[in-house]
Amino acid sequence: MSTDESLQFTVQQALRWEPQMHDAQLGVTAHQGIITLMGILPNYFLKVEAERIVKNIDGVRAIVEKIAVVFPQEQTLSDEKLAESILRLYQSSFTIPDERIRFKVENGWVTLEGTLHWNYQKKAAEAALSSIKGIRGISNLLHTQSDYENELLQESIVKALHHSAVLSDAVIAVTLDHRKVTLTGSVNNLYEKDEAERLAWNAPGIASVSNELEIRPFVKVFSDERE
Amino acid sequence: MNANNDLQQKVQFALFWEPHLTGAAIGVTAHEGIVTLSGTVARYDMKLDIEQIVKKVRGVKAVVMHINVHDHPQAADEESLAQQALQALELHTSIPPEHIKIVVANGWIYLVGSVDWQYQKQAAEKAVSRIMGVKGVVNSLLIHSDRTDMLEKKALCDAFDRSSILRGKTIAVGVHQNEVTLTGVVDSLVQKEEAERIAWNAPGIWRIHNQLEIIHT
Repeated sequence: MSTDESLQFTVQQALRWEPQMHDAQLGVTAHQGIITLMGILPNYFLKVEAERIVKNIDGVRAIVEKIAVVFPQEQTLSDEKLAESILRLYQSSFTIPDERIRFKVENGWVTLEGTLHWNYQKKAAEAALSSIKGIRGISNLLHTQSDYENELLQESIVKALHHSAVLSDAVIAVTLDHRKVTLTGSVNNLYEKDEAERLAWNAPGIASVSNELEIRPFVKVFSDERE
Repeated sequence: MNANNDLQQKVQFALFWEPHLTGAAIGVTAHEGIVTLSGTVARYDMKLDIEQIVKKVRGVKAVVMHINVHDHPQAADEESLAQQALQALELHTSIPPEHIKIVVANGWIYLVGSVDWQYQKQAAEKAVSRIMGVKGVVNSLLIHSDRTDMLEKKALCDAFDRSSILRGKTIAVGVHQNEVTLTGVVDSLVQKEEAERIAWNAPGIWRIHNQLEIIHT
């Protein structure tokens, strides 16, 4: 089996292992570590889940997603109802500054706009919506702009990355140019790449993160015979 | 600097590094990889976030939570909490609310009943934890699988092998009827919990004994 074929098989197996994907009909192709997912899923949450599962797999360097969300008939929710639910969720959250976010709902598709202080707020605003019934897709157009004046400290970012158990064998270099951070080096998978970026974004005063981390080529080591 | 102090400082820094937790004043002590957190926070979901962040710190083997949740200034009445909890379950795409009952007492939400899979049990807990005014959640949902599949050890081992988070770790799997015992050595709590999560996906599973040991290298 070629590397691509074996990766395709692994991805299919990994998706099948997750119970929420048991009924999902997803096509998987692999080309030089780039996985393409195709098909139709009954809700947006499963689409996010499919992506999360594949990001954890060794050897996956990138994901191309061609998944459409098509609701079963009984599950359609009016845009008004959806907007109400979103508003309530945002108001009761402690991580989302709801007064700074404007959103539009059109045929189940939510577009978020506004300017926030932190990247985690932008992520939280999107993540809070992913499991809601009736969401077909999200366009996250939120901007972040920090009002922090002090100098950014490179060593703090390095420390935060170094303390992470998730990144225990990652090799990451941090370069700082004014308020722009660039991450270079290598990690095991897309999940680690995302976590490194998330930690870098937590630096006070940061304006942008350029994530140039490479996914290490995967060499399968066969483990010993199990008892 | 001894190892306990070192870990204490790492945990403190990790909490400081999360901007959404900056308001929280949390005491941290560490003893041989066991981290104890104390203090009072404004919300239950903040307490959960703190726990998650600490579990991701290198060298943490266990977390002891001595964190209280403040009484909410405009304490939501129990009816309203129950109503919001029901709404939260209704709104979620992958929770079947038919078999879940909600009991609210003194700001705590109790989930009772049954679901088919562990991921649904966790999703239900997460959904109600985010409600303002909740002081805690007790998740007594049972996993009730109609499936009578024989637990296949090989399928479990293959699933562990696929996981990038568990790369290079050898996890021994013992199967006894519908129960699974996991033994072996992992590097972190993240790995220990991921192994358990993966095992819960096995068709026909009822119970897991997670005896994985964390040895930080």
